Amino acid sequence: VSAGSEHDKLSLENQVELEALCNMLRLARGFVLGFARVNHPGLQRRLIDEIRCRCPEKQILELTLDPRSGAGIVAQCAEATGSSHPDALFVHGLESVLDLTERQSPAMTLFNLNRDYAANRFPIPVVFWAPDFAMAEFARQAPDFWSVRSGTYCFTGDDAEARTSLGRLEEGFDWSLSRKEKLERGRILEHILAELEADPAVEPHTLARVLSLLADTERFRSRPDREERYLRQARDHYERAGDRGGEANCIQALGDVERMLARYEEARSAYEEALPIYREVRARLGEANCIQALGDVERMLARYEEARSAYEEALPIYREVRARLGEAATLSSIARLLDRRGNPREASLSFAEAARIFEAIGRPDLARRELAERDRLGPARQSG
Amino acid sequence: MERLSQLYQQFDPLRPLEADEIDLYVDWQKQLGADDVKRRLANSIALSGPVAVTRLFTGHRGVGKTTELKRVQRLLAGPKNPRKLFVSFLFAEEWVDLNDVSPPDLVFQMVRQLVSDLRQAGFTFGWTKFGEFFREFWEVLQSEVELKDLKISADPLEFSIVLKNVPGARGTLRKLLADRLPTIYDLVNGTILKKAREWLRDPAHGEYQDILVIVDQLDRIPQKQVFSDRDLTNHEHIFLDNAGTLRALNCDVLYTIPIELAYSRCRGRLRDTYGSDILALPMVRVRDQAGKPCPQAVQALRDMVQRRAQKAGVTETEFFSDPQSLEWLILLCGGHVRSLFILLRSSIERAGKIPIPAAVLEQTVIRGANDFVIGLGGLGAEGWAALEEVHRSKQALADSKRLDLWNSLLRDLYAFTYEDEKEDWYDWNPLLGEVKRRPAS
Repeated sequence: VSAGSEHDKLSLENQVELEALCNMLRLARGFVLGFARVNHPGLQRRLIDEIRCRCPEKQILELTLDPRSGAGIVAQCAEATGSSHPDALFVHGLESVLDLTERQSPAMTLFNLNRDYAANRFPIPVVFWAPDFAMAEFARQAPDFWSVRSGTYCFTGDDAEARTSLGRLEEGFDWSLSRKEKLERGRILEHILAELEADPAVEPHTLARVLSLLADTERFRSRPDREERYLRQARDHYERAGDRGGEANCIQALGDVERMLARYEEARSAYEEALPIYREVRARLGEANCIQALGDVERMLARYEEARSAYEEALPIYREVRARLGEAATLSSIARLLDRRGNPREASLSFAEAARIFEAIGRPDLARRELAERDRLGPARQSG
Repeated sequence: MERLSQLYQQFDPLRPLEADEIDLYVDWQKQLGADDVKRRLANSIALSGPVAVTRLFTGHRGVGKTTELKRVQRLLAGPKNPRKLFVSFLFAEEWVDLNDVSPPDLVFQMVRQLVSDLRQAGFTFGWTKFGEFFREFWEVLQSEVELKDLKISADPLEFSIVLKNVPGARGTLRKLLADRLPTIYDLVNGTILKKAREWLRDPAHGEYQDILVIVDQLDRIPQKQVFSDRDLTNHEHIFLDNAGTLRALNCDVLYTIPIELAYSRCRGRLRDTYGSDILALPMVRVRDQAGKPCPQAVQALRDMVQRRAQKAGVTETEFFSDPQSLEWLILLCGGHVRSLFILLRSSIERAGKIPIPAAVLEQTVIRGANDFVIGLGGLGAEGWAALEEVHRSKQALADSKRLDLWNSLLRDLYAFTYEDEKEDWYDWNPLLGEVKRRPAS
């Protein structure tokens, strides 16, 4: 690793922290508790490889905690070491045994109460490799253990590491995530943001991506004021990076915040600001989403003709880019308008078509909802 | 590297000093002319006469409670004490599940520890009766389906291991204890303690006048809400509702209790219930209330560091490149000994050599301060505002709405307790001042 590419080189700050950790391994003659704070799995791997190069005489055992194991942290460490006598134990996966939805995780309570036992059982350095939030939780939930730490070693990622980690964090980042996972990703993102803000060489585009994801986490938590703040910052950074599409996404999301707060005129202004940018960069899906959102606002303002006109403008674009979810959602919106305007026959057909598409794209829950709406209109109207 | 390693070992934040490590022990309370807690504790027990007393002791994590308790044990068991006591020392973490403490379990463990220590001292009376008693327990435990595969002998020591590690056994034993507690107390108070006292008084057996059981580490019991309709914590339930059980043994007993209980609304009730004030080991008061450094306190901590460094063959000038460094670190640790040791260890790691350059110490302090920022994240703006209030006023957070917050600040070492000639007072951990002074890294 030392002889790796330019990208693999560790920053000066990380070198200093790494040398302190290596010194700890060299100086320890018994139990020593250490924490290596790293928010990026890729960087963590490189650091451990580097430690193995710098301290070849040390036999280091690595263990990843299994949250599904019935055994506690100490028992898992004991099982991993067995009858072997490593010179140090590196423990991964602390974050997995924490549950941010609970004030106190049972695994941490048990761990905290076995401090002296653990110190006797493992007369070697034990280093937890964990993201910032996990260390903070450790400090709070296991204060007896935390109070005897020898050192914490803080490793910060650069722009490239942040982009790699963001790729992981963006994966499947939507409403379907568990609350625990949403909270965890949010905490990791907050710390990555702090790291990037302290890095003068950071790319504005990377910062914008982190801020956008943080806005998403705030939306999941129904905290519109914080979501709005992150979105405004993200928009500024996309602007600095010259990413017009990113900028339009932020403006549209700001419109969504306004709409959620029932500030429809402000929402419309935001959508009207985002729409020409989507057109400028030829982002057809963004354009369709924006038009559909404008339709929603018109509908909320009881301007049904304008709403219908917007939906009918969005629909062919969704079909053109084969965005079936958007197509079905727009059909559903049109159906509701038709129903409201006293046209149950056409409404029923639209509901049925939306249901068929939802079913086809694997959203039977939404399909059922549409069919229930259709059924509400009555069988005669469905058949008629 | 070997000398550096020896120096590093000297500042182990986990290891309390043994009573015979007099070369390393600095009696800072004596040096400061402060109210010496260990002597007050020892005197309050030594002078109590034949009436058994129960004393409560507290202090922050890492302030040196176990080190002081070992000295209390030495003082009371030593020949200079006119009422020389046989002291049984129970480290609760080893024997009791601190997350699920029931007072009868605890008293059971105290009996087990006492019996074990007396047996080790050579006292043999009453084992047949005691053995019969445990055999009955053993038979019931063995008959339980979930425990039948465990091989437990009718030995209280093995019972205890099972009790801690097999939750099913805890429930069973608790049921047994609930019915038989009076029998245990009668057996211990009426037979064993009586006979043990007679035996211990014999000059050939140490000429002890009485018996003391010290129970350490109960300060680590995590606080929980129990009986929410009564707004009662488990700490209050154990130490107040069950004070009768905790005082059931007819011998002197000394318990450590959680600091958040000692400085809570219950302090007066605890004093009334146990008939004595709670004794607290305070921080070494390195600054006065006005923030002015106290030279004697700084010197006491400097002695502590120098003695340990000397044991590794290192003088202060060899340790630090700047003569002001050690005093600076001492003031930053706020008189909390373990924090000082952590800063010193961390500095050694970062420098990888001695003398430690001032710039490395600076880096170490920034890192230590930053750890607090990370930990403080959970307390939020309210936590910061409260800490600034404590720092400004030198008072505890008095209003009941912020009780949980105050407990967290004390428990997690964000706020420190101090004593001077006039009163108890409080301040934030000085590292927090560093956080305010510097941008976090």
